[in-house]
Amino acid sequence: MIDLLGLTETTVNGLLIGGVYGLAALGLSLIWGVMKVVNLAHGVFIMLGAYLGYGMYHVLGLHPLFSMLLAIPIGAGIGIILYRYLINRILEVATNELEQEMMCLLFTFGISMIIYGAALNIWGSDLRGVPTLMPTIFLGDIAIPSSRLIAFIAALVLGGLLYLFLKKTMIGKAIRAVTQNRNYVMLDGIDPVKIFQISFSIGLTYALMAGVVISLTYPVTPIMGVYYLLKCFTVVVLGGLGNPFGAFLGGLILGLAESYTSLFATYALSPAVAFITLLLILIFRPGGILGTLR
Amino acid sequence: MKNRKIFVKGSVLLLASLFIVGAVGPVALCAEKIKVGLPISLTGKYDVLGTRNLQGARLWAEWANEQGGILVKEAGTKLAVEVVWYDTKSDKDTTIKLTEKLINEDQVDFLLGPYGSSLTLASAAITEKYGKLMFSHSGASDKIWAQGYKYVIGVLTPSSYYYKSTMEMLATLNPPVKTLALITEDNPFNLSIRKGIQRWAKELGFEVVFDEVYPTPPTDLSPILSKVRRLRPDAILASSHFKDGALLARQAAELRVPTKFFALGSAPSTTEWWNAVGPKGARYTVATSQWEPIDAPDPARFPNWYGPKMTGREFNTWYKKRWGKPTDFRGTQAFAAGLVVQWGVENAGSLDTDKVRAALNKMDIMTFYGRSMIDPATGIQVGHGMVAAQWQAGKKVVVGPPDLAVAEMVYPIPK
Repeated sequence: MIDLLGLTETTVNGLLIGGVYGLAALGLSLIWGVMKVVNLAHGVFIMLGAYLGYGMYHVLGLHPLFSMLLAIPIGAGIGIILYRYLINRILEVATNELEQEMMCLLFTFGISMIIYGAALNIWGSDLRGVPTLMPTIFLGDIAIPSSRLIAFIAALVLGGLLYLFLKKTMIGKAIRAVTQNRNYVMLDGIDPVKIFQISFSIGLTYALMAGVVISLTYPVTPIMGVYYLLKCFTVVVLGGLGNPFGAFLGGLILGLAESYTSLFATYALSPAVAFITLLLILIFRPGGILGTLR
Repeated sequence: MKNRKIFVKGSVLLLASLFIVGAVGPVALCAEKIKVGLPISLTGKYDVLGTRNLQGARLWAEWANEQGGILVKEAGTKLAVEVVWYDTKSDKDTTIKLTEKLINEDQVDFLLGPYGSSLTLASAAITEKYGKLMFSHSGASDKIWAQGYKYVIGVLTPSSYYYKSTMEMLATLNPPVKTLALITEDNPFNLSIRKGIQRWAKELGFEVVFDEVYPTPPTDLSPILSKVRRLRPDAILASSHFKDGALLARQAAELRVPTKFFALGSAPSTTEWWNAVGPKGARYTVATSQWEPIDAPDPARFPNWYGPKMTGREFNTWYKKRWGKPTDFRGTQAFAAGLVVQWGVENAGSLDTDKVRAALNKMDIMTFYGRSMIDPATGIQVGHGMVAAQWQAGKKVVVGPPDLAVAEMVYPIPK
């Protein structure tokens, strides 16, 4: 029997987890949209973010939300180093676009393997976690875990900031221009390589920040990146390849689809429902719900 | 030309010598010691757990050798034990290859199983093919013994019996437990535990008001828990993996799922789990465990005691002294599997597979790991029982079965 209370709680929970999925997928979508690089290392950066949240809490007693600020210099630093010294060289060596995409795919896969292996060696496969820090809010009989709510708000704010950055700033406009045509922008004096570097760093920073947010509720292990990478791919394709706002929307749809499947049928069917939704989107809107970033 | 002749002659000689060593070597070795093979996860997803298995098995071999070895009547002497192990990387294909290597190249006399049910199943197909006895210390799925295999000996409680003792305890509680909610991870092992719960629920008269399976690996379990929350079951019995178990406990606490009793299978039995979940989520959660390091069983109480005369806690102190870190049931089970091998060999007076298998049919022993007895037809373990442990104020205490309990269970869970 489905009551109104159950429906409301399910909707709220679906939106909350959906926001986290969306945030997790933002970086992946941005990097794909701008650089046409499928970043298979996205998942391990989410994992690193979760370890950052966990580590800062246990070593310095820092609330994970503060660790999100730390994610910015770390993400930017790693992004710049990886891009300038490795990815850029691959892009230069490759003779055509297909080769570039293939080589980047292999490269990011390799990076993910190295980071995963390093994490296993440094931290082991032991389960870790930030203890539940925040209380549960009750609206009548509807329970809303405040850690989830904060994760959702963080996702909204970060998504909003990215939106403003892309729409209002010169660099943001340049990024969008590169997304549309990377050759013509050079006529305007924009250096696509610099734009790629900035986008890549933003993408990684968002992955790290998503990881920090996830550490608020999800147990931390080296393998968790793989789980989230799979979700992120579904979300990104659902919302529109290369469109960060679509990714956010895709996250909400996936979160709601999973929750409603559980309410109206059984949670065991949720992956099937997620992939059927994905198939339908691909058939009727091949570019995703919002299409590619313009 | 001359060089070529020398090369050919040299090769022939080399091959011949290899053949002789190959043919004679193992026979000579067989007579000197008992070789026990162990394909085990030292890397990959079961690395931590597999390492404990290996440490347990090695500790057993060291202990047996300190006693002068195992008496084999046919050989007329005590023989030393050697554990031969390889890292399976927690991978099925590698496990299969290494099981074959242990049998064909290392010519082991017996095998201890790999870590976990799926790898044990894979390995068992090989040991059975070669007619070698395999002692399953970490594969609990009933499926292993449903294949019609003759040579797989169970050391631990099989999965469908995981909740039996806990549910018998639930039936005696006041206020009475009437309704159950079952939450199960979609994998063969946990589905087999669930089958057991359904069976005991019917036998003990509980009503199952919720019974759902969640896909693995989960990133969010709140949709399931929201549903359970509305049903207000008296008890929640979950069968989950270590990581999902942590997620389940955290989210159940966050959503304040009201229930009088919350058990999560074997997931909460380690301190790592408690650390990952934190005090709020972990409080009063019950773990069903194959073994706990407690001041029981008492060796003096059992005339059929076998192996080192020590309680669970004493064993763990010993283990910690040897390996630097204490163990959970995983290290103990591998040691216990070694004891079962040893009992079989001593009582068969032989290293012959069929003779040892026949001897084991009569086994009914008590060790620090608990009772051990097999079903003669299948080899499945029927003597060993699970203990129920509850997290109380940051400590895990054994609350059942009554003869092992060291504390009262906190029931119903306070709000």
